[in-house]
Amino acid sequence: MAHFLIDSDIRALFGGAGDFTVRELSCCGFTLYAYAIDGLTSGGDTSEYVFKPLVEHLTGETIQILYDCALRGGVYNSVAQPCKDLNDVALKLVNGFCVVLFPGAGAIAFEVKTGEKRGPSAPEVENTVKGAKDGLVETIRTNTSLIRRHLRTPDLRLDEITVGRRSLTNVTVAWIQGITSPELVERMKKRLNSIDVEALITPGSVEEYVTGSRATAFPLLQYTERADTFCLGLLDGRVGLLVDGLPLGYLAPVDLEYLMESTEDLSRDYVTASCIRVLRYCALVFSLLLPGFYIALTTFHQQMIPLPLLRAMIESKKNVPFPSALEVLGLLIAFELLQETGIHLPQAVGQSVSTVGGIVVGTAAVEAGFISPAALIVVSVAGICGFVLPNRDMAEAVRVWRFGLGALGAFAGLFGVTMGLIALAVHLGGLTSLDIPYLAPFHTSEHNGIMRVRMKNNLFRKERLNPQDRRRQG
Amino acid sequence: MKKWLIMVLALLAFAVLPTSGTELGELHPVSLLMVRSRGKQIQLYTDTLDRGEGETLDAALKNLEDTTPGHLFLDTVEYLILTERTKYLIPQLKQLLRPGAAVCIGEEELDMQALPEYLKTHAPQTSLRDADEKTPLQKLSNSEERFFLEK
Repeated sequence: MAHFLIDSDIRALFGGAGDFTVRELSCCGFTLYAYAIDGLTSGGDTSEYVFKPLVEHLTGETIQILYDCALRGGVYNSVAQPCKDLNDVALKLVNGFCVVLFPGAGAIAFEVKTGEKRGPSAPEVENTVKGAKDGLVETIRTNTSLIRRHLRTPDLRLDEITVGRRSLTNVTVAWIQGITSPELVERMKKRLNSIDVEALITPGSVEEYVTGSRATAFPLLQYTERADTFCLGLLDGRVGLLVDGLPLGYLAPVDLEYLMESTEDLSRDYVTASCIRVLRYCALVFSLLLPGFYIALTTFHQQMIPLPLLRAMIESKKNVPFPSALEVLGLLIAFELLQETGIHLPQAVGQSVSTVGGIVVGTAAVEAGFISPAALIVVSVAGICGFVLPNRDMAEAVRVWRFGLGALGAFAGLFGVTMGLIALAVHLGGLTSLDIPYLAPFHTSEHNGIMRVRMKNNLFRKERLNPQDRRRQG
Repeated sequence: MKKWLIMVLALLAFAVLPTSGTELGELHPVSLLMVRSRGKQIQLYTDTLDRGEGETLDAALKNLEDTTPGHLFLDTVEYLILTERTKYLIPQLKQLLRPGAAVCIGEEELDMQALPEYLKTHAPQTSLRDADEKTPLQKLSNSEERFFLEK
């Protein structure tokens, strides 16, 4: 308990770390100890809102009176919390509190977090022309404030859980009382509480641990860097997850429909948005199947290609030394390498490399007769279609399966591609996110999941999420 | 256990497949095939100016395949020209060519290279699917380097 807290134990907590500061203060003849972590706390605020009131305004005959007085407003700070034990002291210190030890009486944590943090900026990946420009940042409290600004309802619940034995990462479960199914919230909290790991720092670790590390390339959590998208998800009756240190929010459950939606859809009229969604689904099919189909048709089922096209393709393939399968799979690998180059190089250089790689090297390879123009077109179209998908995780899963289907097409033609597609359908059919089936939008009686519903007709929330209040409007 | 069973079934399914395809660049597609006979010999001519002959259609085909530079590809045949004496081969040709191929009766000597261009705009109306030995077929004649397909 607090009474057992002693100065030497607290000093030993951080093992003499360079950023751990201790200040001794004299107050009414008693010595108080103030601890803070430099960089996480503001020096000015500590002096003004902790030290000054402690030294100038606190009076009392015993240390216990001083402690009680400080806790009840003698030290005017917005947050003053008693520390229960040594772990609590450590937790408060790493969260930007200044802990003052009243020897023999207890310790109080005063909030003096530094103002040094990245402010909300426009989202880099999920850009919209007309939508809001406030993207989520690495600081969880900034993110919760952004969400509160979009959703001013007092029913918004933000439950905090600490995950990670060493990282002590603050995770906030966001949901709306009266809309979100309590079962979904419970499932999410249960999963978070069952995570017993050292650190929850990277997006990959969050996604894997929260979803139970299923053997799939498809995302089982939807991420967003947009505060408005996050809020729309909550209003749908989904559960949100904010992780301190990550500039994004997670939404669960997720299904194929959510992954194919873009925030931009809600910035357009429903006719245009629906047409673009249809195009997006076509892009998904092309991106997934085009290389596999091309390999299957050119290797096994040439009779399915119209004669003029076949003649043109044969003519262009005459001097190419590699079989179609090798050509396409090789180009797909080259395409992936170019993408990786673009990611790891600085933005300006990355763009140049992608342009040089894609256009110059591709054209030169065709002219030199290393690859046929048809194969280059097929891989480029599949790649571009992959970029149309709004969710990067989903696009990456499609990239993985594209290779598989290409290999099956090379091995067994359309039969192989069909087998691969059946395997994919079975795989997707078996996936669930917070126990909601991944393909639910396509087998329930609700709207088809592809078209954007007209706003005035969007009266009800999705039944599959089992919301407490199904009616949205009217 | 279920996963292993699926994997074994998938392997078995792939094991019974013809695993080697034909490379596109090696194909020698044919759009026009003429079948005529000389004495006891069946003769096959293509628009790519390849030729094969033998005592039976199969033998002629084998000879055509053996003498063609590349992999003879008859799945692309759009036009089939027969003579009155080779009409009896229609049932066999049905097994060999696309059912949508257009069939007509032609003269013994035709300019095979120029003919596809003409047939593109004057295609015979009977398809191989609808033809048999007794079906009356349109006649294609060739005079003074001009083709004429009677209506």
